[in-house]
Amino acid sequence: MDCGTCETAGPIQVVKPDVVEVSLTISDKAQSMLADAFGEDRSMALLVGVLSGGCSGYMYDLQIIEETDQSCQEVNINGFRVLVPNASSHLLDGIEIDYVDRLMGGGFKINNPNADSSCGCGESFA
Amino acid sequence: MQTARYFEGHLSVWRGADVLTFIDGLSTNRVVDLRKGECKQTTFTTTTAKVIDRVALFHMGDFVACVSHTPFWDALHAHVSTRILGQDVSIFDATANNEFYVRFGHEQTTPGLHSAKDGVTIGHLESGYDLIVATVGEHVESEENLDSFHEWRIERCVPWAGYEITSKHHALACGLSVDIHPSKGCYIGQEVLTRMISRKKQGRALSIVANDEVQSSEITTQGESRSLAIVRV
Repeated sequence: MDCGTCETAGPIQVVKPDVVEVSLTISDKAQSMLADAFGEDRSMALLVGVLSGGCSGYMYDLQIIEETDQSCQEVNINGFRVLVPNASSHLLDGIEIDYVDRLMGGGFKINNPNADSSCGCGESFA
Repeated sequence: MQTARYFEGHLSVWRGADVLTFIDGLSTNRVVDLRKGECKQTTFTTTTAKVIDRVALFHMGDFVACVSHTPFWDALHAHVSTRILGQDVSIFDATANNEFYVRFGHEQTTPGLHSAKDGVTIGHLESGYDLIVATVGEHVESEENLDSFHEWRIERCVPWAGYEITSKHHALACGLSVDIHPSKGCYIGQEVLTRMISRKKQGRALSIVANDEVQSSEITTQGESRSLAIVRV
């Protein structure tokens, strides 16, 4: 097998969507839960990203982080830092971050106007 | 033991820290734990579980080699490239540097592993045949057509790309249940396949049939006396 280690194999063009300036909202309930999670320390940020996979093709990726290597946009909502990776900004513009209080399937929930469909558990969308 | 060359092979080289998790999230088999020296087949499917392509992955240490099929590459490329987003995944096309063969009709001793010598890499696949990728110029003794391979496939109900494995059918109907991991979690098409498996209803299935047993339109690989067909079950 010649795997192109001698630079005989060209890179395959990968679709890179345009970076979109993201606007997003966080519901009151979600802000209350974030306040509990962050405490007084507002140096931490909520990273809202998208990964491939899940039943519908894209999965939300929510993390509380201090720093990230990813190229991100930062949105400040009522003192909460929200980071959105530029690579997935086209999928996240206009989202609402909500919190659903249920024994099963509860937790942060993304309402995404860009999603045509989502899977049953709500973690992935297309 | 026989070896036959086929001309529809496609080789892409996938590099980056996120390659295995990326492929795992988009295909039917569990590949996230693939290790250097191992090979495994997995199937990319649409949200309706229709097949995009079945590929063989070779973990080569620094990268993953993906042997797919040229007629399906555009669809597979379109499927994956929009989903890389910010992940560490780069894909290179090494098809022109290689030739592709299948070896069959022998006892496999190390299924799931691959070996390499003098520019010839042999993947011992769980499907019961070997996939050989040889650097252009390396001689591999082989037949120039797949006739014997197709007869071998018919006797063992082994599907092949472009015959049984097409975008017309879902992965179970194509005979790719061996690629469908029962508990790996979500991937595109998983809900549909899991529902069919749990309800034991998959509509159609790959079967070995006598040549006069079914309508010719249902035959996917025609043999001398028996054939493969995707029939209603």
